[in-house]
Amino acid sequence: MTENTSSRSRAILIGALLAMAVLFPHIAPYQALASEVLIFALFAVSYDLVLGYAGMLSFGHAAFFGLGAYGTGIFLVKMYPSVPLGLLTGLAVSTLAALFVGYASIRRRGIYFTMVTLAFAQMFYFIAFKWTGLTGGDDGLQGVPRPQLGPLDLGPEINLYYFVLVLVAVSVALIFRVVNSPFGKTLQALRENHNRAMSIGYDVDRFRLIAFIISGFFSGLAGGLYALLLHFVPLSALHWSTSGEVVVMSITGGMGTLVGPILGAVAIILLRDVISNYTESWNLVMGAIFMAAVLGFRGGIMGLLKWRR
Amino acid sequence: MATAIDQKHCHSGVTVTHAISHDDVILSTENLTKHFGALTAINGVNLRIGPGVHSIIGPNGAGKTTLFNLLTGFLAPDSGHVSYRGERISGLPPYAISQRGVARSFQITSIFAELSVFENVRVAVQSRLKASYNFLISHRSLKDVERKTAEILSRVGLENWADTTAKNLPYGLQRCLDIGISLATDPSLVLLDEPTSGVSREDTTNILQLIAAISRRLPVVLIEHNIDIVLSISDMITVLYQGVVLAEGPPAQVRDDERVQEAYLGGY
Repeated sequence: MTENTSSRSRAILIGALLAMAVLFPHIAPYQALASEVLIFALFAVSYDLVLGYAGMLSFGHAAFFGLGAYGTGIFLVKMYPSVPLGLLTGLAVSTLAALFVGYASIRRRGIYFTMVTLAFAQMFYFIAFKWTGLTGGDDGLQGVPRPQLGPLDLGPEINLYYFVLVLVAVSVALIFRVVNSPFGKTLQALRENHNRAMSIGYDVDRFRLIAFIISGFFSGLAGGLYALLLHFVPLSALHWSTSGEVVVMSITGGMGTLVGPILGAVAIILLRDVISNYTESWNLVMGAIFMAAVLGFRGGIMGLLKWRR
Repeated sequence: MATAIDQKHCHSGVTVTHAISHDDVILSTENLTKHFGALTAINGVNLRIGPGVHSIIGPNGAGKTTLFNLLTGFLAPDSGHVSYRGERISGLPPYAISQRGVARSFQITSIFAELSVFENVRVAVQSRLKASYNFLISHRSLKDVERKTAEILSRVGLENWADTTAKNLPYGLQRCLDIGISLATDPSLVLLDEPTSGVSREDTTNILQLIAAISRRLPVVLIEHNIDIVLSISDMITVLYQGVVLAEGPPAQVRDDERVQEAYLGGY
């Protein structure tokens, strides 16, 4: 049966990926970089749900990543040193923000939707910038602790890496389930043909809003983990360039595939690290790679892999 | 199905109405009117749709597609209203009208281009279920949906194309898929907007057979340009001209109507 072979080859692929993920921090230039790669992979996968599956070009996803980071960080610094409660706070803040931004933007289409999401993200950025007492303003939020989690000491980078790996693996598995659920299949239909989806009885805006909220939730988790990783929340987490970065990761990797954005995140974070050793204008090189992806290999890294087969 | 139509000649002499017995009317419009700027696209249209095939004909720009858009919620009327099974549906969004059982196809083929033929129909079958909002189960677990999908595919003659990406289907079969998507929503009324436009003669025959088969189960409203097709397949014909109902009746009567001949000859 083809189904059996495909599910077996899928099991092998997942096994290989997990084995690689377990070994990764020992191969990576330094352990914190490995964690950063995983965090951005989760961010890119959450973003792909909106861009690749629902067909909505959000240019405001830094808001959910950044609010997740600030929510987690502020809770840990100012309220109570507990990692699970901190992450939950970050998730609550980013999910609520996604509900709010989604509700306000979802009726817009195309470029108007993109602009509204950007406007909201900029609003959050300036609030964080001005509200120095809460967020540390331009300096970022300093001194985010990594309190002990039961028997697990999150202090050493390698321990944090495996903690991040577990959360990212579970989240990515959940997002895979989402895109293959009846809900996810509906998203793909309305991405393909908005009017047709409506004419067969789908309340298109409601599906778009739910997708946006799920995406905001997982982006917020990525942000929360980022705060733990850095011991600090940089204001740049909310900056529009972070929104741009996740778009670039998705497209370079191959949007609408989930695996593609993971590869995109891995490639871009690692390349940036390598290139920035040689030149300060690494952005120029990354820009060239992105242009090559858009012009030369549509479908991104995943497109290349499929084409070679 | 022609037996369901009971002809009555109105003695006013101005218009001839062909009343369908009241119980059989599934969809009706009252003084339906729609303006686009200075243009009145639909002007005081009263329609009564019953069983069988009810065709809407008229020259280009007569307002046929606008009428469909008004019936299915893609446009809201400026005045007048649409009733479906006794409920006022004008003003409802398209998805709500679909959920009540009105299905439509589109003049320009409207399918989910990058999805497989099977998935095109499957997602339409799934639209009847609350489970469409469930994001934690696999879509494969909806076995009834898959069974129904296979059934619809064989009804529209696409059972051997299930795995093909919809955009790669030959054009005539894309038109069948468009109809299949509509049928998959388990409708009680089907509106088809020029299902044979641009289709080869051979495919046209298939599509007409399909429409005839559908009309044995469900009332069908058909927009069609080809007069021969309309005359052969319809139980009732409404002629629209510049947004107004010019004539209405069974095929033989509409064919012999002088105003209809004038509008058609004058219209081209």
